[in-house]
Amino acid sequence: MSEFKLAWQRFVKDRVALIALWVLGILYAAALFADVITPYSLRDESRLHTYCPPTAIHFLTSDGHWAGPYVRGVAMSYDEYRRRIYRETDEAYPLKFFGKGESYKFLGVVTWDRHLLSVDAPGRVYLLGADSRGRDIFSRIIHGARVSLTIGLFGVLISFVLGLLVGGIAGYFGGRIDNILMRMCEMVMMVPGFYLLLALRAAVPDTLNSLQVYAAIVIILAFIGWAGLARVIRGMCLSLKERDYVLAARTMGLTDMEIVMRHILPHTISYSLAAVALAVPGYILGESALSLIGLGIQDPYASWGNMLSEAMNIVRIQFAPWILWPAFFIALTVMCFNLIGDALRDAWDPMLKGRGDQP
Amino acid sequence: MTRPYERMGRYIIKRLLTAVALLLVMSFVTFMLMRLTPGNYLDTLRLDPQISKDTLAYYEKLYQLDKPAWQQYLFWLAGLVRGEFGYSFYYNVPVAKIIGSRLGNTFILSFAAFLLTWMLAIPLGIWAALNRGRWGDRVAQFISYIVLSLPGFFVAMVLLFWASTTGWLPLGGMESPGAEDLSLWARSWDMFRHLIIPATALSLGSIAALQKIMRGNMLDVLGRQYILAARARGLPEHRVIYVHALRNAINPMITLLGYEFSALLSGAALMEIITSWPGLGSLMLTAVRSKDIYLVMASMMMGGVLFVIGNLLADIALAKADPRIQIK
Amino acid sequence: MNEAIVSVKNLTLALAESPATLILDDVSLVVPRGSIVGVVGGSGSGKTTLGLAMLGLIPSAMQVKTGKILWEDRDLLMRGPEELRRMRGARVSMSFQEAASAFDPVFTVGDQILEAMAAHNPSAGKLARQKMFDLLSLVEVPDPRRVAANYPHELSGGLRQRAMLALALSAKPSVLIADEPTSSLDVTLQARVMQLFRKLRRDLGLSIVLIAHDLGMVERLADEMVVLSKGCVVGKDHPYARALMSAQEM
Repeated sequence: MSEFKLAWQRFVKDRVALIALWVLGILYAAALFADVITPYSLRDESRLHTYCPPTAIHFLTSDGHWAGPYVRGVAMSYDEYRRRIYRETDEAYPLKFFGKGESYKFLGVVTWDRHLLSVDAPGRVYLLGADSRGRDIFSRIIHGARVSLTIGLFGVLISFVLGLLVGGIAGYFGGRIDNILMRMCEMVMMVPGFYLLLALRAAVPDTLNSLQVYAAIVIILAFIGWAGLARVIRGMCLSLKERDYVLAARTMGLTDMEIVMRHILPHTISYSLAAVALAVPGYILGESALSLIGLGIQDPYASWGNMLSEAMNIVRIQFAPWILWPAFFIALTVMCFNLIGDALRDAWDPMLKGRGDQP
Repeated sequence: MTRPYERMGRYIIKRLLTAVALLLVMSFVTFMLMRLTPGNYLDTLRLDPQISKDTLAYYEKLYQLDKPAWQQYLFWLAGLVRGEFGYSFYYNVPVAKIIGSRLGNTFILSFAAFLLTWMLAIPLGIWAALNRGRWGDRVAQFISYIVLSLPGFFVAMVLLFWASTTGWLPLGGMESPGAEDLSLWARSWDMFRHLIIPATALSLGSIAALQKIMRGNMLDVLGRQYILAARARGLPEHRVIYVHALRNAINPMITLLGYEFSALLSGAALMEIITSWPGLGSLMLTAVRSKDIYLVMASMMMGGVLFVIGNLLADIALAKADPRIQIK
Repeated sequence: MNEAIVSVKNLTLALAESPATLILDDVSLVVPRGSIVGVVGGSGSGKTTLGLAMLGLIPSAMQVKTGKILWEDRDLLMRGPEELRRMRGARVSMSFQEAASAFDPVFTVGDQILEAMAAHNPSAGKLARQKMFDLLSLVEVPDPRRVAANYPHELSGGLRQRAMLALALSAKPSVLIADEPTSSLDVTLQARVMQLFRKLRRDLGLSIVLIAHDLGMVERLADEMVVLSKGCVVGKDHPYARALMSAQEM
């Protein structure tokens, strides 16, 4: 596996890609520990704080003495155009680290009630502002990361297994089988993705619960995406099977399956990793688009896409621009995957460096 | 020299036949899936006390909704051959009545975005390749990377927001109210102004992606021996770059034409929904939401047909552009 | 011997990024009018770079440290890019090792020859086509009209090689730098190309710089020759030259 090792060495030399890897690591860790990190749960809302702006964190009392981090209460009133105005009051609520709050099942197992950051009621802390129902956007982004970050990975995983199977078989056996399988791929790739997405979504019954909807979206996205990966993998197999070691293996009397499993697949791994990393953004964007137009994850569950549906009414952006935060996280994630994918591909084949080609 | 044209004709027919077969399979799968899942538009109508049992029975009979799913499919297919797309229960008109204008609108949007993309991406890619490594190229590549990561719908939202604060451009839709009374010229201008935001949001990502590919192709070609050879025989630099390098760098782009068109169509659907552009995509969303099966089927078939045509044109363009491509 | 038409004097080329790495080290070469001069060397000896340098096409990764390249007593390194461009092809031209990669694949052979003619003589007009056919006949292309209408990939190897010679000669240069003109051809075709070179010298008064790794072939054809090894000119008695010789005899 020295080919793989060399590629890895080239990859870790790419600073930007390493930073991207770290950012993604932090995002995924935040999604995993969402219950601890977030001040509020998914169902927490406060009608008195509709579109409350981001909360300021104070350190000094009003007469200039050190008081540690605290937030002030807010009072809402309306201006002459019936727009909400938030004003800080004199009440102070110290920020608590690992203070008691709403209880939850930590990692789905242990019941716990500590939160990384919280303030005592009736004070509220909105790091990134509040949405139409006074829900904390920061908390919802972290909770929503569980959906938005995993849906792409699961989708790509299913696509990839399908693609590996179909592309591997087509590339290895060639001839008629190859022809039939590639026609199948073309068929799937032929219908514009978003129409297929909508059509398949139309076929999903309305009665599903949120977990089933999640699974349905994963399957739909995978169904649209596998064909592209299958073609990439087929191309790789075609070029690999002519290499000497495969011919050597064949003369040694290995069966076709053994050759595929032992010789072709391992060598496609590093290249495949790049293809996968570059495919993930498509799934993330697909999910967010579907949720954005109300056909994906439904309230009260959060995904970055369905959080953005509030911004579909553009007037709201004007007085609560912070509802666009989820878009920042989508863009950040997509960019990280792109950077890592590009770096992996360059590491696999340094000759391609600087060329902008898709694999 | 009739032989290449004959070959091309046979190729086109072959491609069209495959496309028809593929569309059939696609439509069958979608139809079955939609039929086999509970709930159709008649169920919604049943809940409406204003609609009589007789009307419902009439619809059921007319569209053979009481028959098994595969018979309904054949019935729908037979209608399609006669140019009938079925009935939209939601809009309460035949599907054919609405789909035509929607198809046209989607075409306008996709085509505008397509033109914008290619007219900007190709020169930008060439310019970046010729200035490789200089600060202009670096800035362009950096911006491209960021633009590539921005979801198109987000760009549309930001542009709409900008339009709402400045009032320079209309906020969605395709025409201002009362546009029917305007002169042709004023009406076109009005539509053009409505087109700017969705077309820009739709093409921005493609411009970033395509210029990157064009830059790569151009750099690749500029390193080829025939470019050195062209210089060695004293051709003027502008001919070396804009005739020899450019022709060869653009050829692989033509293969992308088809995919690019499909991506645009796909993206256009979402953009239509966000900017309320009355096209096929927003129609499909309405249809999907109301489980209006014939409307869903028709929208999808139209999307598929547009895509097939786009791909076929791209194939022909490629065969014309590159003498080395042998059409099977 | 006649006066020198092109000469290289003490040329030293180095990599731009690491000036200590020499690609050509103090190379001198004189091409008398109407003669055939051989440049022999293995791969990586710098012989193709030398050929390109004689056209003023120094790769951007390299820089000239010292030396001159004289075309009729004027240093081409001192000339402006436009002047150089006009002289390339019209005074000194070059043919390449791989004919397949020296043609632009998307234009017909005829179009490319006409283009090169027009670049140096825009007023040729209708006569240009006839001149092109004559030129193709001169390099012994059997059916010039058909070959001119073909795309490069449609020609056989030998035919493409001769078409490329026609392309290099399209603006009537007085010097042709031929980089490995025979290495991609089989033995019979090699012999024909060598005969063709003799004929071109005789009929056109062409001076030829023959770049090759095949010492035997160059010896048979060239009036004079230099042997390049790792960027340096070495004598005929140099062990490297002998090695090339003995490899040839084997």
